Amino acid sequence: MEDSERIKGYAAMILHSHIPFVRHPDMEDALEERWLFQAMSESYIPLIQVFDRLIQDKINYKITLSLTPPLMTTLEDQYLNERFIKYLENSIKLSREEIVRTKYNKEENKLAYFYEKRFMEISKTYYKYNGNLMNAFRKFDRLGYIEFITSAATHGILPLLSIHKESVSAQVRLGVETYTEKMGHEPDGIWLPECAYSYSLDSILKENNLKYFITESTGVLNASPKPLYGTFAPIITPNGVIALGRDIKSSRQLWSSTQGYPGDYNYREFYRDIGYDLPMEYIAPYINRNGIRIDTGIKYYKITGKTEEKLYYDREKAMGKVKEHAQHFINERNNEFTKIKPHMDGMPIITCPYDTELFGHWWYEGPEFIESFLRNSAKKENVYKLTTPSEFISKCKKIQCCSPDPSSWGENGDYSVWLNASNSWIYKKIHSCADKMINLSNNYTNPSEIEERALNQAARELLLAESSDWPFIIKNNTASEYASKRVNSHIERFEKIYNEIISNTVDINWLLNVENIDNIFPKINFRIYKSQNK
Amino acid sequence: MYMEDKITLMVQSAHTLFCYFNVDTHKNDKVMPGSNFNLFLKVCSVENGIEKEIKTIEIKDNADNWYINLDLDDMDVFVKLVEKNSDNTYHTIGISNVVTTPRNYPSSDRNVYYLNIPNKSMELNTDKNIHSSSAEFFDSYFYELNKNNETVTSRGNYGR
Repeated sequence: MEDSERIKGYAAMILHSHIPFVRHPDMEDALEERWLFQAMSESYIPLIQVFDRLIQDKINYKITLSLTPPLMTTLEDQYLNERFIKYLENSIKLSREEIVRTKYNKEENKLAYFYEKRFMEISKTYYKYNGNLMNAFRKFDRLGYIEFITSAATHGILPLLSIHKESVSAQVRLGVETYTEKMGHEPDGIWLPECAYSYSLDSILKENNLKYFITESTGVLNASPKPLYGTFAPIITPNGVIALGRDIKSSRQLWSSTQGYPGDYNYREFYRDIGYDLPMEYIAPYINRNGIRIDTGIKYYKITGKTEEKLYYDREKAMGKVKEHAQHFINERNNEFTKIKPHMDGMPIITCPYDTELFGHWWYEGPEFIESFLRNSAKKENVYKLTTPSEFISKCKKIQCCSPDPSSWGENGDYSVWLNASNSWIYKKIHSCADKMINLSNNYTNPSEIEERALNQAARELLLAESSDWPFIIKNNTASEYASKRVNSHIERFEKIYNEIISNTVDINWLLNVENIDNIFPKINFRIYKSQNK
Repeated sequence: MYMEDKITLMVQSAHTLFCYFNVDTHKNDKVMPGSNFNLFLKVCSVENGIEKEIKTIEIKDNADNWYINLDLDDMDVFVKLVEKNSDNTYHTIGISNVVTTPRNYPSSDRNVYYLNIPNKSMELNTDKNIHSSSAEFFDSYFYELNKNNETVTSRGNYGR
């Protein structure tokens, strides 16, 4: 059968890759830097291996990856890469010790060998790209298999910053500029942090030459006029920016706490790591230097069920299950397109956005799920093709014009995860700093060299305080002390710089130290905060 | 000028707003010395340029922020921070920014406008027959999906 007869729709899988700016050369063995290292070794590198294998097997796949500026920056940071190398070496060393320690336990020993091999392969892939994962992403971009998009500068939740249009503009503009610098071309699309949209945001996207963004399903379903085909067709805002709505069914298949694939009993149990389970005298060299127990990445059990008596993880069984789940996911898309297409004028699209870190870090078998999905989606028996938003949009002759509804992909589809009794204190502080930053930008039209550096650092501190990660972590009470400290320390640094600028007493040595710690956006120009009418 | 506005209003959801404010209690000479400082929020909607007060909330416990519940969604709202004087009159301390709350339901506007991508021209599609059959199918499709309103969140937790 010809493609034109067979194809009933397009599926766009979008992976959002983000880790907040966790870089602490000022601290010894900072726990939070491990967030990046875990994401690199458990998600990004295994996915890079998947993308490489598919290319090697001549599979014509399409997928979209967003890369946030903090992630792009930290992946290329020399200090963090040196720390990552030590992290990897330690993981390999521990897995080798585990091979010895578990020699009388057949199941654990088999898994210890598995981990040793896996860490070695991760290390090999890391060095294949010269210790810089951005090299891998640039390669996939160049080859055209992956469409990369940007995000806001520090993943600020834009609707909650919109008290000052300048703050939102700065987040978007720096997101575009950082992407352009790192990838060598402008992005077509943007991942709005937390998929958070509010009215008038599209005008700022338009100003930055962005063609599309991803929105929560209700952003499209409650848009006005009501979109004819719901989330199965893109809509275009009055300012000419295209919105693609998150598909509800495919989201539930992965994220649902009751029906989601990652909860299958055969998959690896995230919460049983030898970093917590083994005696301190044995595990001490592999955990935090201050004796805080942490994940080592070596976990011997499977989810098993709602019991504390966990059974050993069986890798072969888990791999069988992941193929089954990927095929189920594919079948569901085939059924969906077959059902929908007769009711539509053009081709439907199913937009499936997820966090990249779900695949591998949270759901250990996730990269293999992606591999199986991409590999088997290419088969002729399917009624759909894989696509990217840009490719799909380029085929559209007309797009329905609607104004998306403000929304986010958080709980309840609103902003309550990022604005509630636990974290609302943040906004008073960052709005106050934004006021000051805008004033500085409007008034310091011809600063001295030192003032210029101080003004640029003030902008960095404000941006870092605005990250949506901090209110999220505080709400979830996971590393809330750290998140609160991060907001407060950036605000304090901002205030100190502000006071020194206006009193003409910039402490150069202190400034230099802060420039070295919070070194994101080395080419920032504080004038991005200048009001448009100034 | 910096800190000119004393009250800032933010949208949390279709039916909940959040505001924070700074109050200088010494500015109002109508407040009797030693009396309680009576602050209220007057919540106002704006429709077709006409302002309408929709509720008054008493601020308690010297709070400097407040969550405001609204019965209706999809509207332009602002709040006035007012102080009750000893003669039971109100004195406005600050007026917030205007926010627009999200719509919590599908729009009743069923017009179909298309942007033709090649020439960027706008057209109103008036083929009601095609519309009504598609609309019926997709209305029922998404209604059924949303009946199972299990929250599908995103984002893993950092740390443990």
